[in-house]
Amino acid sequence: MIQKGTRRVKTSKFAGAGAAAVGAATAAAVLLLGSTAAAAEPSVDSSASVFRTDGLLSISPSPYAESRDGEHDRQSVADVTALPLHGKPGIGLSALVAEAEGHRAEATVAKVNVLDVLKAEAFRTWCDGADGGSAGVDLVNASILGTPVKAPLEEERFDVSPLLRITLNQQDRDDDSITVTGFTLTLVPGQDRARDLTDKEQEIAPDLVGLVTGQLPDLRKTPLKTVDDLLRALSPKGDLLKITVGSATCALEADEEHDEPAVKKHEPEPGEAPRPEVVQKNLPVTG
Amino acid sequence: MANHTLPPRIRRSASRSGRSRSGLVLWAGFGVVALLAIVLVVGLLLGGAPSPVAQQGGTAAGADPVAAAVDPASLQESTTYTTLQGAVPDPAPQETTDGRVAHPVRETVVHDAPGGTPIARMPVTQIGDTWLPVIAQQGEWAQVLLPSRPSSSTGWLPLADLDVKTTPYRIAVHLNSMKLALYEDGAKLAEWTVGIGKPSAPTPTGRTFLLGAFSDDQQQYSPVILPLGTHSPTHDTFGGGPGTVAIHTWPTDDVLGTATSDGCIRVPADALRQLTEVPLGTLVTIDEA
Repeated sequence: MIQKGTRRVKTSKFAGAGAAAVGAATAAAVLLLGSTAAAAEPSVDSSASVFRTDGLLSISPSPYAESRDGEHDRQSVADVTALPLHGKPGIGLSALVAEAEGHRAEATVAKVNVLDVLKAEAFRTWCDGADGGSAGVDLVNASILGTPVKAPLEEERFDVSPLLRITLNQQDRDDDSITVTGFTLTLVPGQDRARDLTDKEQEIAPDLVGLVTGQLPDLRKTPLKTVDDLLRALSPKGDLLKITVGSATCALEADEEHDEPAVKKHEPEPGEAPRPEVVQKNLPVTG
Repeated sequence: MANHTLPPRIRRSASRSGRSRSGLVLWAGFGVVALLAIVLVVGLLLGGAPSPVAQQGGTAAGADPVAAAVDPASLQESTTYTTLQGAVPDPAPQETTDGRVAHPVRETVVHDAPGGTPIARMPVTQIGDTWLPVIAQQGEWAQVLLPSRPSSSTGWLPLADLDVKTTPYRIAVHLNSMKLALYEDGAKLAEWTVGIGKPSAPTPTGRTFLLGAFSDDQQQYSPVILPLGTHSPTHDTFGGGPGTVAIHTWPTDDVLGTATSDGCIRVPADALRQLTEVPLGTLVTIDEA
């Protein structure tokens, strides 16, 4: 998870314990995707990752690139396919590229299909720490749950159901950095576990269970009619599942007008008094 | 407030003593023989090590050769630790200057007037290099603010002993509004809310200057302390020091906008960072506004 709060953005490694419990297809994805995340260092200027999952299923952000001291970093993965459900991948991503340089970072991916919820020919998530910081997403022929979408200028949430939360272009910033998360699909344990799943939820639920458990549920033995059914199928603990496509964090460049001292730093011109030299001394003053 | 007293000796300045020209002539008439004798004796005693005034040949405009007769070694240094007798009060405590600051390139003698009575020695360094604001000039003499007690003391230095530069900056401290403003070439660069002296130990008003910039391992409240050329009017000493007023930060921001210090001016970290770049000798005006 990318953490913010300092000018140099800190990262932490991602727990991979959940990966052991998932099926072969997902495990393969973990192996494929996990290689670059291990290289994450604790301090970077900017970073980007293309794909990750958290919660019940934890897949390290991959590919993952980070810029340290302004240097360029580019990491790529040709394809990610996971969850061969219904004869096709539940998750399919191609040409995954994470790139970071200085105060800029971006994550790009082509041929996106996440559980048929998100489809796009191309999906780019980017940020730039210059001029106060900016970020956004670029979409090509994208759709969410079959409905064409254009790249929103601001964060956009899709009210699919109380169980699923989908967001595009989520942006978070603090004094030091800006983070953009391109697409997230979050499974939200509902308060009303007895509630019947909606038709769309019932449509997605088997794939979700397959993604998390590694095998599609037998709907005759394990019906997925209610929220409680789904949560039991996913995990007795009902932990969250979050799938993320595209994330970038950029440290904000120093604002020349505000961060630089108003007093000129350059050496004084002839005739100008010199800048003071701070000396070591013990002189108690009036405090 | 400042307590300025004349030195216990006859003042010889034609320009500031108030003596009439005829009085001077009379004095010269009575003392010419003795005067020559004194100069001769002092010259012999010094063994070819003339006073700073003598080093410049004693030719400074307005200089009275009698001034060279005073042994500089007998004079106090003008520093933040000393109290001077005979220093001249600042004639315009709320005026600004043209930005000139002076650094003595060699130890020189401070006079109470151009060519007047020596009152102190000005060292080349004290808290780093010595830089003093020039508040007036008369011939080959510059009047500067002094770092010694009484606060707002001034003295005259021979220009031949000075490296005179300019600073575009000025610092203004307004006590009632508890603001500190930094000016460059007359334009306000920045302004901060600051903490000032409490009523029982007020921050002194008047003209003063950045005397130095130092870090003190024994004081943790500020990474850099900027002592001024002025002192607390109520604390003759403070914490073992001479009651020097300074600009510095404080570990907590809750002192900003309060009158709770013992005279020092507590500023936010950003202010200190910028003020640390301002040349020594830069004028600091403190008023009641």
